[in-house]
Amino acid sequence: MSQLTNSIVAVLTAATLAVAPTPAPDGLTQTLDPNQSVASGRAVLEKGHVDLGPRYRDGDWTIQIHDDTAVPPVWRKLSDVVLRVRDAAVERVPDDPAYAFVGQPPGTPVHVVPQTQNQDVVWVGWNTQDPGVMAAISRGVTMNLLGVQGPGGVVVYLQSGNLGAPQVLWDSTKPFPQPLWVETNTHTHANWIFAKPGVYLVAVEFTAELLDGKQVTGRETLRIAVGDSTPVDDAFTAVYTGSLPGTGATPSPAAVAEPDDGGSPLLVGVLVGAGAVLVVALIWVLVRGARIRRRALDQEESA
Amino acid sequence: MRAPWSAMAVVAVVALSGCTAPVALSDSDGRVQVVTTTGILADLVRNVGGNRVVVDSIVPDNADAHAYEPTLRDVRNVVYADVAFSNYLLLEAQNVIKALDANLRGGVPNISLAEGATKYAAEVIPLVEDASLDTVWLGMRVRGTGRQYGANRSSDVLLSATDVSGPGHLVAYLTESFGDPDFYVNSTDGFDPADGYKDDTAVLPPDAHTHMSWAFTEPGVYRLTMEARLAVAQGEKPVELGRQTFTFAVGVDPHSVGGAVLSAGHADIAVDVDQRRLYLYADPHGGGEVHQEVYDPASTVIEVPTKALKQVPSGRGYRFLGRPGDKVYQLPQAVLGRHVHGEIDPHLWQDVGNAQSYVELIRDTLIGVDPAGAMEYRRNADAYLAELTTLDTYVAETIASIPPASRYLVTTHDAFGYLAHAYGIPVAGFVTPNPAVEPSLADRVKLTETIRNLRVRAVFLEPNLRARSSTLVEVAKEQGVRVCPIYGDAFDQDVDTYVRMMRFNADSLKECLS
Repeated sequence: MSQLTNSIVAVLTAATLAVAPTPAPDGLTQTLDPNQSVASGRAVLEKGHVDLGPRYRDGDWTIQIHDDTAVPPVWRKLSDVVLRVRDAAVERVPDDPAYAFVGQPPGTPVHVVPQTQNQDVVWVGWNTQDPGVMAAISRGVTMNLLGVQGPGGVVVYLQSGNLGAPQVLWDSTKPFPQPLWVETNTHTHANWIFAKPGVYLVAVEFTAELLDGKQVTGRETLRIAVGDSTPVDDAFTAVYTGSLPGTGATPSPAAVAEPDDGGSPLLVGVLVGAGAVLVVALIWVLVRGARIRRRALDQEESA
Repeated sequence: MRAPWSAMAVVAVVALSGCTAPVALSDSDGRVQVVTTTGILADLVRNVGGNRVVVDSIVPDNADAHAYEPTLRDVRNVVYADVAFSNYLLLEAQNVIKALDANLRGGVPNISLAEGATKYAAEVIPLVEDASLDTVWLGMRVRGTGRQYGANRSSDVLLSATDVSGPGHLVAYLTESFGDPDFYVNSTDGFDPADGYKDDTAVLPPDAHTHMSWAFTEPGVYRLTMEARLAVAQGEKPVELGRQTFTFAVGVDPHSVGGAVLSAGHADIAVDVDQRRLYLYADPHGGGEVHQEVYDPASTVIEVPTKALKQVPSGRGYRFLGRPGDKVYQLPQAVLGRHVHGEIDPHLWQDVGNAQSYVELIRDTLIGVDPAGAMEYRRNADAYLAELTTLDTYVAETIASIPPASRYLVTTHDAFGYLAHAYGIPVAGFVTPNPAVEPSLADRVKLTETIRNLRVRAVFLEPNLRARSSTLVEVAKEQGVRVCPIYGDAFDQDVDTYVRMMRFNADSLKECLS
């Protein structure tokens, strides 16, 4: 029996993400409350459902944490939050070459935030369901891992459940930035593995093109305390000391759509030319071939 | 006023495709010198530019834009160009794009039509990176709070499978972080009412939802009966919430089963605690939960397409699905991997509406380069846009006249997503995603199953890929189905304008599938 209420579990989603005080007339349509409040003050989240995601309000693009453990749910600033991954999350790396990407020998204990909820572990996902975001962008956002600072490696991967190999999305041992495309109005959870206990700072950036062609971008640092013996205060006070890649940007179609803008078409040419040289060096795990967005990012990085 | 320009365009194309005296750009010609990457783009530009422009394409007819190597002549054309149009978005080979970037003179507009056309209302679709994830995303959901029965978030809703009928087995399972399976429904060991279907029961709290993989061992129609109970608290008698039967078309034509077909988006087998009934709760268009609606299971079919056919891997853990190498049709537990890179399918022009966006961008670009010709470019574009509207209607009506049960597109590579999307002809399969990928044995198996199970009448092959598409031709021969032509990214001596190409494709589909 799949006992979703204790060890394995359910995706609590829009129904619970959403606080819809007045359902639509048909009673069937759910919406996120656009006026969900932003909580202030520090919070340590160690159980329950939490999402990282962009918000868009009055022309202001921010990256926040949607705290679904609060009733009703609230948004929080990343600097106010430590995600605490308790030792209940420890699993041993299997003796299976399909999991060599974890980077640890079989049998090594690692902390795992799973794709499907373990009730005893904070459950971290991401969503693009803020009504302001959904109304402002057309296709989706690029969620970019810019860097990780911590005592060990961090790997984020998906089990698609299609008999294929696990799909690695982010790997802190690989070059940055590591862009990931997320469609609008989606909500996703993946597996997070932390190789060693301690404080991790995860630098992320969310970039999107608005309906009017304007580009918005925001960066934040996610604070994670891994292991029961890691002091939470250390995670609040830790400072990201490494250097981060230059601001990531997707090539804006606006740059190529305006023939009267003499400089822009040239810009695109430069992006492609430089990218063609660099793209080979930075191949992303499990991917076929070069990527336009990546090329642009590589260019930005090298510029 | 249009006719002479069209005639001129035809003359130019004939000259090109005849390969005897190809047009070449120069600096001794009063007209606007335009270089494009492909012949299709050149044709669109000629229709807008008329006799004010001279146009040449880098990739010749019959060649594959994905693999073409530019020549010295191409480089010379680029140097003379006053404006360049590419499709971009990885359609053209890297070296073609590089030839433009490296050799265009300073200040010459270098326009990516696929990217720029989105400003002109072109509709783009994401490139599917893994076709086995391009299915409906099916989960289980509890709707409502059950407050009327005293339920809270720690109450349990039990969703049990009580029966499965069909040609094979059905297993709904979760793949955990390190690959261990956890079962929700497993027909291989039967359904036991004596223990309350314990081994075939999912337990969710109210207001929750979850996703799992849905595996089927044989093609055909399956019917899954599920019932639900609410356990308000431990030890209390559960509240019965109803029973329903859900229908799956696995590998076979779902239209032949009857009813609405769920083939994309997000769907849940839902139990509504407050209404005490089970139903399908689906948004066929989206991945999120915001726009889901109720579908009656009695008149709805969930499609499990052959593109989701996989073989049971060797190694640990999958014996519950069969022996290594056995075929399994499967809906995945997570679909994010369908497009994690955010790329756009570059073949926009297979939707005539998008070609119209290209035309508007070409018009405005030419006006920018040659303002004196503004009126002429506008007039030409208006006439051509009207012709394209007629074309759009023709393609839509022609394809719509093919019976739905026969309306499947099987091609050699994945270049027809826009045609499928715009004109309602599902892509049932292709050999490989693009011509650069060599087909594997598994690709061949999948192709064969697709043709056989959907009773596909014909497969479609791009003439310029004929020499490299032995797999499609061989499998079609084995299965006794026709191989019919369809044009994707290149013209040839028979089809040398965009309008002719789209008409030809619609006619070919109609003739071969009806």
